[in-house]
Amino acid sequence: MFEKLVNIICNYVEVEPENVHPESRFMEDLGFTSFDFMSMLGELEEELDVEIDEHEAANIRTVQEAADYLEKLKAEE
Amino acid sequence: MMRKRKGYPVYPLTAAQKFHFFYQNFCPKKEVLNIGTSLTIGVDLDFEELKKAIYKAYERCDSMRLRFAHDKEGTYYQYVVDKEERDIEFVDFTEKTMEEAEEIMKEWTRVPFKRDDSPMNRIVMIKTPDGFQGIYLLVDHMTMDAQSLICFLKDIIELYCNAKYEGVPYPKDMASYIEQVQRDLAYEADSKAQAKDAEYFQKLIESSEPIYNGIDGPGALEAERKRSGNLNARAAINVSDSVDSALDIFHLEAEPTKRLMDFCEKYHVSLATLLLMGLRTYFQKMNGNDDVSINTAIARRATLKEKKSGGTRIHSFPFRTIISPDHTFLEGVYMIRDLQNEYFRHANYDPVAYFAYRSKLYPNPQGQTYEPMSLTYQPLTLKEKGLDKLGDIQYKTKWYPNGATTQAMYLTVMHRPEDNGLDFNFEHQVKAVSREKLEYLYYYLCRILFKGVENPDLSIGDIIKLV
Repeated sequence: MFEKLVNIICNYVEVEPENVHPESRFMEDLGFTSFDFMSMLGELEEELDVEIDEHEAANIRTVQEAADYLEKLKAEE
Repeated sequence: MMRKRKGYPVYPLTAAQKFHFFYQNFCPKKEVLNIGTSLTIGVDLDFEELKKAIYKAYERCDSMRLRFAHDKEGTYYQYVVDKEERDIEFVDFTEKTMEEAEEIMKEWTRVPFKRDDSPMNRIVMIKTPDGFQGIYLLVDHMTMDAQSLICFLKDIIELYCNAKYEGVPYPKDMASYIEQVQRDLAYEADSKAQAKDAEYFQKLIESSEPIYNGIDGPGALEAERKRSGNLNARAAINVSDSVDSALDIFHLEAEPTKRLMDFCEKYHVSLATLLLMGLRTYFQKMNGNDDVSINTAIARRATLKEKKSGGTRIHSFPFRTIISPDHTFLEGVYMIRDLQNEYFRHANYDPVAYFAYRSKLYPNPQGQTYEPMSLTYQPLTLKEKGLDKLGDIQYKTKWYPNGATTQAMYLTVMHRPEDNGLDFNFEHQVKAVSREKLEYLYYYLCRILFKGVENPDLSIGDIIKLV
C-alpha cells in the first residue's frame, strides 16, 4: 500500500519517490494543499475501489497514517 | 458547428471559461477579464537572452497561444496555434518616475483584447526607474489564471537562468492544455462524476434559502424589504450602476502573519479556512445573522499535470455557513474546513449551473444576491516558484488593476514574498464600496482573527462582543 500511495503522491507534488517517507507530512513536508489532498482521495477511491470519508481523512497528517487508513478500508470491504 | 479554424482543431469552452465569458458579456468594459502583472529584478538582464526565453516559454505553454473564434450562431470555440510570431516589445521607463511607469502599465492593463482569432496576451520587457529590469505581462482571464500566470513567469525565469548560469537545470516540461480541456469536457458531457456533484450541490441549495449580509450591516436588506414590501426578502442588490473599480491593498506584517500561519499548522487547517472564518464572523457581527454566505474561488489544480497545463481552471461557488455564536472559534474553523473539503470533492461542477439551479429555486429580481463579497486565497508566490534560483537578488512583483469589476467587492489574499507578510487586495466597485468601509472591514477582520487564534476556545459570541 505504501508504494502504491507514494506513486500517486508523486502525481500531485514535485517530489522524488525516494524522498517520500512514512513520517512525511502531506502539508508541511510534501507541500500538499488541502485541495491537492482531497483530489488525491478521489483518485485513491477509484484506484483501490474504496469509499473515503473526507471528514475522517481530514485528520490524516502523514503518509503512514494514510497508508494505515487505506489498509483498514480495504480490510473492512 | 465549427471543427477546424485556420487548420487547427477547435474545442468548446470549458465551464471555467464560460463563467468568465458570461460576466464579460454583461460588463460594458471588456477589459474586465484582463490580468496585468510585472516582475522586475535588481540586476542587469541580457534582453536578447530574455527574449529567447520568452519565445521558448510561449512554445512550452499552449494556453499562451490560445485563440478564440465564434461560429454563425455566436458560439465561441478555442484553438491553439503552433507558435508565437509577434516581436516582444521593449520599453525603457528609466527617464520617468516610478508613478509614471506604473500609470502606463495600468493603462496597458485597461486595453481589452480583440478576442477573435488574435493573441490573448501581451509581454513587454521593461526597465523601470528604480533600476530594476524584467517583464510586464498582460493576459486574458479566459486563457490564464493567477496560478498559471505565475507558472508561466517561473518558466521564463528558469529558461533564462538555464541559458545564462552554469549548473541551473533546464526546467521540466509543461503539461498539455488540450488534454486538460478534454478531461473537463468529458466530465461536462454527462459523466457519472458530474451527476454526483450536481446531486451534492442541489441538495445543499435545497436545504434552505441563504440571506444577504452587508459589509456595514443589514441596511441594504432592510431597504430591499421596504422597497418590495416583502418583509421576508432575503436577497439584496450590492453592486452599483458603474463597474468602475479601485484596488486597495492592506499589508499585514510578517510577525502577525506568522501567528496566523502557526495557528494553521498547529490545528491542521489552511489559511483559506481561517480567512473564511474571520470574514464570516465579521458579517455575523455586523448583521446579527448566524447564516453567512461568501463566494469562494477554487483553483482546481491538484495534479502536476493540472498545475502545469496553463489555462484558467477557477470555479467559484457561494460558501454558506450557519454557525451559532455558542460554538467556539476552533469549532467554527473545523466546520468550515469540513465544508471546504466537501466542496473540493465536487469542485468540477459548473458554477453557472449552480447559480441557475439556485435562481430557479429562489427566484429573485435580477441583480440581487446573497453574497456580499468574493474571496480568493493565492498560496503560490514566485519565491517558491523559480526565483530561488536568483539567490539573494532582489525582485519585485506588482499586479495592475484593470479598472472594472462586475462584483461589489473581491478580496484576494496573497503572500508577500519579500518579507513573508500578507497582502489583502480589495478590488471593489468605487460607487458600491468606499475605502473607509474596507478599512473598517480589514480592521475588524484582523481583530477577529487574532482574538480567535489567541483564544481558540472562546465562543464566537464572546469574540464578537470583545472585538
